[in-house]
Amino acid sequence: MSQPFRLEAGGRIDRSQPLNFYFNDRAYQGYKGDTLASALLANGQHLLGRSFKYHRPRGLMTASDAEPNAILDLYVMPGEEDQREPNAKAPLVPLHEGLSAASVNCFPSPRFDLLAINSWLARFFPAGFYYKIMQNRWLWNHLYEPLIRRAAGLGVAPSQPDKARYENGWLHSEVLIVGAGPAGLSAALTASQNPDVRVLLVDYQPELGGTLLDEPSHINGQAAADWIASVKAELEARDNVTIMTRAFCVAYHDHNYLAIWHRLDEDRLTPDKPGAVRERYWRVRAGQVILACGAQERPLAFVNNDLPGVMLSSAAVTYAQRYAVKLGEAGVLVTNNDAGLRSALALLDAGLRLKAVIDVRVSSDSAYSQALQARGVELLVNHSLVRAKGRRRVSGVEVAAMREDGKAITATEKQEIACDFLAVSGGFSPAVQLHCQAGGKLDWDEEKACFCPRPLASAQVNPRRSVGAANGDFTLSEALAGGAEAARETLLALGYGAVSLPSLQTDAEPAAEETPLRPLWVLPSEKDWRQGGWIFIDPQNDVKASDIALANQEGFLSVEHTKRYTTLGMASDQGRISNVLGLGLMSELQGKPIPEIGTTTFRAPTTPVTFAAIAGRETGQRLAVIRRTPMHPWHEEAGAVFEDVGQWKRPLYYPRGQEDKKSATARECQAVRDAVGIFDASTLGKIEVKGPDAATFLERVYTNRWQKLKPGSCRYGIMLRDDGMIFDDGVTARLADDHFLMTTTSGGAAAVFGHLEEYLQTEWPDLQVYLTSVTEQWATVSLAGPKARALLAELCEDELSAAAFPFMRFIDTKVAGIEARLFRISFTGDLSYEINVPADYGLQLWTVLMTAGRKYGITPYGTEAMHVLRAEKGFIIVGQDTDGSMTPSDMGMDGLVRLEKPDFIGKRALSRPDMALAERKQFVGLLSEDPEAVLPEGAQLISEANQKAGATPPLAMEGHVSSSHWSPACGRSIALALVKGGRARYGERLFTQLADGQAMACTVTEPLFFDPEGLRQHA
Amino acid sequence: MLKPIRTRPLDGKVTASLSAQIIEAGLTLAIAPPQTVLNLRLSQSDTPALARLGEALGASLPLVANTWLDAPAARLHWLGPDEWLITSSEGDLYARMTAALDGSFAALVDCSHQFQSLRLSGKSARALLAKLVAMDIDSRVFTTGQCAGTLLAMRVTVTLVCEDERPSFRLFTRRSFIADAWDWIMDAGLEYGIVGGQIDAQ
Repeated sequence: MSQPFRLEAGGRIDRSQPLNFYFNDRAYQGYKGDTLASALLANGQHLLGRSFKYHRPRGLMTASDAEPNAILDLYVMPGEEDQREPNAKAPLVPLHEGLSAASVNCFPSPRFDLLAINSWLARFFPAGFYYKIMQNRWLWNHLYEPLIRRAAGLGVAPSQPDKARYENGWLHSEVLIVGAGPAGLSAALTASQNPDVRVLLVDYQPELGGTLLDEPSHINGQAAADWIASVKAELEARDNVTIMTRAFCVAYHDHNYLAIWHRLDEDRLTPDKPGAVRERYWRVRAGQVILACGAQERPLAFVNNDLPGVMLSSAAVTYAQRYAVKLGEAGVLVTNNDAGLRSALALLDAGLRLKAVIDVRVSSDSAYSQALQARGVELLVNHSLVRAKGRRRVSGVEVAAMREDGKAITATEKQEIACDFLAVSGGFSPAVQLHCQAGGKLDWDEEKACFCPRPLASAQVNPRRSVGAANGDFTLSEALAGGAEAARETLLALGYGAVSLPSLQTDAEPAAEETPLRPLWVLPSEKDWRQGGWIFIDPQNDVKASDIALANQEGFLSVEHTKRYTTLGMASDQGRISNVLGLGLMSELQGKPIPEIGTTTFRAPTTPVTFAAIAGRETGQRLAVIRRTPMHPWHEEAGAVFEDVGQWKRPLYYPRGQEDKKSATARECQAVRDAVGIFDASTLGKIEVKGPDAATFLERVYTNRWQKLKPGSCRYGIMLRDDGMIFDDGVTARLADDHFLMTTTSGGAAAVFGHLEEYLQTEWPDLQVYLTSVTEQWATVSLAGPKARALLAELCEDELSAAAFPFMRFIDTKVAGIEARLFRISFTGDLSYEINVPADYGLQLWTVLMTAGRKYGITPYGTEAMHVLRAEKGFIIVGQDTDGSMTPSDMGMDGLVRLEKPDFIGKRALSRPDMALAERKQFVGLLSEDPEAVLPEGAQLISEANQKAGATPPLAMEGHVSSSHWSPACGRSIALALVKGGRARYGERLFTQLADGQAMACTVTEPLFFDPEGLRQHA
Repeated sequence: MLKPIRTRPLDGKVTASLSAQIIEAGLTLAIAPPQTVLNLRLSQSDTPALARLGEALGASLPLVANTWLDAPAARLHWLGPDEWLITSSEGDLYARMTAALDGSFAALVDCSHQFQSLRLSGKSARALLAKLVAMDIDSRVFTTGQCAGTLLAMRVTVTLVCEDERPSFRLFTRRSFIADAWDWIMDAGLEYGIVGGQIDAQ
């Protein structure tokens, strides 16, 4: 028979729409409106999996996102790994046609699980056992860890990338309301009266209403369900209201910055619909926040309280009332408070049979208890539930009378009651996670036995941010009134006018004085709970009551220590179910009241969020920006191999035929030295510096002189940080008296611009200088080599002779008919021109030069050849030969530092005694003794004495290799290095100590290997 | 001598052309035709220069933060307390403005190749942008006549300009970021059936 445990009537399911689904490969049916959890229960499936550590049989405990046990693997088609979702909480999964679910952490099945042997071995692994016995590293790697990984844990991550689409984004609202139960709906109704106030209402449930969906009560004469529908219609009609369901508010950061995880596709079929989104992760900026996120019912601790069929009383009511699930043939309910008695009545109202209600309080004489007895339910007051019985499902309970202090049972005779479901109520804990994440404090409410949010002190906010059950106001009328009042106060705090409060009357008032909750956490049995037994506090992590006692006995008194020793509260509900129970036990063990024990820290996210949602579309090719130069299409067509320089793609070399990097680079270098090379230098940072004080400004940011530089001339400069270390370098041209064009390194452009702008705005606001970044206005082509002039002369009408246009000069001209800024500067040490044209003309210029240059043997060269060419000349690359700890003096650039200037950035730092130490690393050249051998870049250098002694590490380091290349021009390898006191050590032998134990001998030289007189660049 | 040919970053990659009907009908992303883009830095306290410039342009520079306004032949965008972005379909704007600024402490830089722009237009444009920019783009907050600097997908610096209430947005980015911006917007627009293409110069 289909759905044997479905009630005849009631519930919010659509019985006209049956849905087929599978659980552990068996076919079942549910209805539209079911969750996977309710559909399984309607089919009598209580045993859903095995526990984390002991492999105990487990079933549903909640109907909420705190669910510790019913954690399942979901898929649409078996074997489709890119569609599988591990570790889904069954109460959160909307049922859909074809849904398949499977148990995790059991083999071969949840009914018969081989690792259930763990439960027999339990006495060998109490809390913290691994700290004690798994000390041996080898055994950990080879035995313990593999065993634990197999035995413990939940689902297995899919092996294929997820096909579905996930996104994230940003939302803004004046008021964010978390939770759409009675308090949240009332707050939304009130706040959204002002059309200028954007209200964002989120709830993790699939529909609005929260616990009202389980309520048989009326509001303003309407049945709860009808009232929800009318409120929903009213809110949806207001265009200042945004409603999100299946939306979890998972984080609450400073300044009302929150995160909402929104799950969209109910049927998990988005991969088949273009653009359809499975989940979105929203970052929300809210003016004010109202937390109406309800409360979590707590269990009680007794023997076998984790058996399938044992669930929280509120969850039992939800399944019976909202989903018309018959939880079993006959049930028992155990409670320490009146809410539990109300749950019992609600279960009876739904048509379930309760044999007995066990009330652990000393006396219970109220309208509830009378109503229960009038309906034929046996009420056992001041009784303990000694144990639940059953193997894979609860089959009965043992009950006995208690002593009045609740410490022990009195009767020797226990009463046994057969049942197939057991509802438990240990009172409610307000959902304070978000309140605490935002820095809110808690106060222990003795009467309600729960932590409630402490009202906020700041004048800028509504002091009552939490409302309804989240504030410990558990009755419906308190929730409705509290939500509305909070909304009004919030609007006032935001500076809006007062709004009227809606009149919301309910008939759901408690009929009589409530009997207070009895804070009895462990129900006594024959055996002291400290001694052991299957009494679970945190079921997801298999934390037992006796584990808390063990932690206490071993001296872990602080709640944070107990948490880490036992894993109490580390489950995915972050202790929402277990914390108060654990604190109750610690309080009893230490003889201190609960508030003195304290709580652990609540951290984001409040519920597990998929990584995919956080990553959004920032995956694959969208992981990072790729910047391409104007000539990029040509490089690509030429088959260039690219390297990443910052965000830029730059050609590293252009292989011809089967050439490898070394031979292609050698050919490119040779072409520059013998003929002409062409290089894409567009990525260099370019900054226009303009204003009457521009030269003064440059004097202060560079170490050298700028005042007397003539317009039309260029000069190389190095820029230091405050601490005197080299920050950036580049050539700057004086375009006019008050106008310079500065170039920076490719990777440093943005940082340099920020650095300069900061100094202008904060240190030297008196200087009349404006900066404008023009990096991308210009495409830069560098022509280098002895034939560069002849080639350029064909395309440029200006006189280019060495006399008319000497080294380090600049002209405005036209090249190939394109307006150009032409510089005669060189980073290769050869005759070289840098042609700057407006960026969109860059590709055309390059193509024209390639065509015209054919007869000169023009050869495009990449960054690798550029590195070699400049290394031959000993030109530094900031960031390669410097590492943020090098001064100009270290790099042999004292000549560029004009200490006689009144000031420049870093000047003061250069006079520190440390800067003059003889053992500072200095920039030198290295020649390996084997001219064919290229020293590895980054290799450490050691002295000959240490090498000869065959000393074993650690050895004193003399320095390191910063750049190393094969140099075609020198016909041998060359290297640049930083060596302690290096300039005094020319001729000394050093050794690189390599990782494989080999050593390479080399000699310290001047860092200049080619054309020492610099004749070529001046040619 | 050759006639200079401009090659823009999305040339060859985006070939479809957008008709007025397509733009009217749905959500579109268009590559705007090339235009003159000038970056101006000038002190707000230099009232003589502001006045001369106002005369040359036929409208005063916007002094209200994050706003733009139209001059007869140019659009003037506020970028910062001493910085404006000026766009125009006319080529001689630079010369006219340079003349007006003669003798003042100002920096007028031609950035016509550096700043390129896309135009996002259609009913879902705000919903789309909510997925890509952290700033509040709700019509109550960011509306026609406003512009702002922000980050697209937390990586691409853009100047976002609300041009009308269709709504239409123009996004200025530096040249090498335009392809990335294009990819992100087209990707985020998938669910709204976005159409991308070139539009012809008016």
